[in-house]
Amino acid sequence: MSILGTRLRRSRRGAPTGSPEIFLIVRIYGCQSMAGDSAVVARGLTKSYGSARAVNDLSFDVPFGSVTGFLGPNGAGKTTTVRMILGLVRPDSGTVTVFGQPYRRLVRPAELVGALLDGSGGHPWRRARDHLRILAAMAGLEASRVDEVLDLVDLRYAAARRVGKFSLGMRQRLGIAGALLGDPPLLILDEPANGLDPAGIRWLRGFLRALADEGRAIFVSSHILMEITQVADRALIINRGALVAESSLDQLAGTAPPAVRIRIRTADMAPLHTLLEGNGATVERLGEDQLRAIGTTTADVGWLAARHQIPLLENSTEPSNLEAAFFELTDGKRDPGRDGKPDAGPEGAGAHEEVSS
Amino acid sequence: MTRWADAHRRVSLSQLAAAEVLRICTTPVVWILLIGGVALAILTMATGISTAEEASIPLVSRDGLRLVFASAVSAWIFSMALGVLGMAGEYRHRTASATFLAEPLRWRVFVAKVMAHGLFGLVFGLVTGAATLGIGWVWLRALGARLAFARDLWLILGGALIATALYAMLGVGIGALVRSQVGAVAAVLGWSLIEASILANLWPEGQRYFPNAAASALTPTPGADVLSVGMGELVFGGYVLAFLLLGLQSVRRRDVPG
Repeated sequence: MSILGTRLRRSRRGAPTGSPEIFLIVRIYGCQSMAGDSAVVARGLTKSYGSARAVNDLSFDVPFGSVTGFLGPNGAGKTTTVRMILGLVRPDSGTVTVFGQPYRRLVRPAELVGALLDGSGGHPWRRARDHLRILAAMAGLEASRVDEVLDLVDLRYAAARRVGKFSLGMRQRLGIAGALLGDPPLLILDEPANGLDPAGIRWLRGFLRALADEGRAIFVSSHILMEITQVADRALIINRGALVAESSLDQLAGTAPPAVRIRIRTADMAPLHTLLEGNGATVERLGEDQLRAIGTTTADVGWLAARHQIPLLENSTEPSNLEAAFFELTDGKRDPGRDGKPDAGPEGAGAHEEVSS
Repeated sequence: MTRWADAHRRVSLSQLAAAEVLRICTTPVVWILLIGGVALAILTMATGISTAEEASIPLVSRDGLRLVFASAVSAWIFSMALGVLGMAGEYRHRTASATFLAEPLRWRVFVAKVMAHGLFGLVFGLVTGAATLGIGWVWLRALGARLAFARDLWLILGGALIATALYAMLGVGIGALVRSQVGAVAAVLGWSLIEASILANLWPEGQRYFPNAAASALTPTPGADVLSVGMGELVFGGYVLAFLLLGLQSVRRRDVPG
C-alpha cells in the first residue's frame, strides 16, 4: 500500500536556528518506510522536446533541512526538471518523488510543497488578494492565510491592486506569497531572482535565508551563481540536461581550475613580480602595491615571499573561484544564453527566455 | 485523530468549483461578456420584431412570441466565450501551473471548471431571458396586448437557459483542446459560419444534426428546419459531452508549459 498521510512539523518560527530539525511523522498503512531523508528524489529523469533532449538521465536528491542550489546556464534543462518534479511535465523516462510520492498523488500538496514558477503571478486583471484567495480556496486553506502571506512578502499595501500593474519584482513576491500559503516544509523556486533589481535580489536572499533557518528544505534554480551562493548549502550543476557536479559550495570552490586569480599586496613589488613570473605565473600590476597573479596558489605565493623575506600585506584569492568552477563545469561559457535547447518546451520556451535574458 | 483525517482528505469537488466561481468573479471579463450577451439579445429581439412585421406574423401569436423571445439564446456566443477564456486563459496567462499545483489531479480541476462555467452559463441565460422578458412585456403592453401563450414562452426561455449553460461547458472543452484563446474563439465562429452556409447546403438533410443547428432546436423559431426540442437537447448534449471528454484527455495528458 502507499503512504496515506505525510505530515511534517518543524521548529517553531523564531526559535533558535542552530540546528533546524525536522520531525517526520509518517503514517504508514501496512507498508515499509518510503520517505527517507530526502524531500525530493529524482532518478534517471529524461525529457525530450522533439529531437532536442532537454534533460538527460538526471538523478539527484534534495535533503530535508538544506538549501540546494540548482545551477546551470539558460537552456540547461532547469525549468523542465523543476516542472517534472511538480508533475506539470511528464518525463519520457525516470521517476521523481516528493515526500516519497509522485507530486500528482500528494493530498493537499500546498501544505507540503510551495513552488514559484515563471508566471505564478496570476491573471493581469485580477487583484493580488483575489489571486491568493483562489489558491487558498483550492488548497482548502483558511482565507486568513492570504493576508498573512501578503505580510510575509511585504505586499499587503498592494493587495487590492491588479496584478497587471505589478512590477516584475512585485509579481515574484506575489508568487512567493502563493508558495507560502500552505506553510510548506519544502519550497521549490525556479529562477526566483529573474527580473529583480539589486535591492530585490538582496531582499530575496535574506528572505530565503530566513525560510531556510526555519528548517525548510529549499530547492532554488538559477542561471546566475552569485544569486545563490549566500543562500545555498549545496549545489547541483547541470549543463545540457545532465548533472555535471553535485557538491557543497565550499567543495565546489575547492575544485576550481587553476585559473584562480590571486590578489597580493606587498611592500616590495618588483622582486615579487619577478619571482612569481619566474615560477610560471602570469602577473599583472594593479596599483601602487598590488599585484594579481594567475597560475599559482596563495600558499605558493606565501612560501615564495617568506623565502625571499618579502613582506606580504595581503594574499588572497579573488572571490571568483566559485564562478570559475561554474564556468569550467558548464563549458566555460560566460554567457551561454540560447544554445538551441528549449528549457520550457516548444510552447513555453519563448516566454521563459524573454524573462531570463 | 479526526483532525488528522480531515487534514488528509482531498479538497472536495464543490470546494474546487467554489474556487472556480471565485476565479470567474474576480476579473471584469465575466461582466463584459454578460453585458455583451444582453446587448446582443436585445438587438436580436429588435430584429425578430421587424422580421415578424415584414413576414406579417401577428406578434401576439405563438409564432410571433417564439420569434421574439428566442433571442434570449443569442447570448450563447458570450456564454461560450466565458468557458473558452476560463480554460484557455489558464494557459494564456500562465496561471495553469499554479492551478495544477494546488490540485494536481487535473481531472478534478477540469470538472470543477465545467461545473462553475455551467453555472455561469445558467446565469447568462437567466439574465438575458429576464432582459428579453422585461422588454417584451413592456413592449406588448405598449401595443395594448397581454402576454399570452405563457407555456410556449417558458419553454423558449427554458430552452435558452439550457443552451447557454451547455455552450459555456462546451467552451471549457474547446478551451482545453485549443489552448489559444483567440484561436479557440475564431475556430468556433469559423465553424458557425461553415455550418450555417457551406455544410447546410452540401448536406441539407443532415444539417439538423450539426452542433449549432441541434442547439437551435432548443429555442425553435417558426419555420426553422430543426429537430424536436428533446432530440436537440440529446444531440447537442452529445456534442458537448464529446468535447468535454476530448478536453479532459488533453488537460490530463499534455504538459503544462511554462
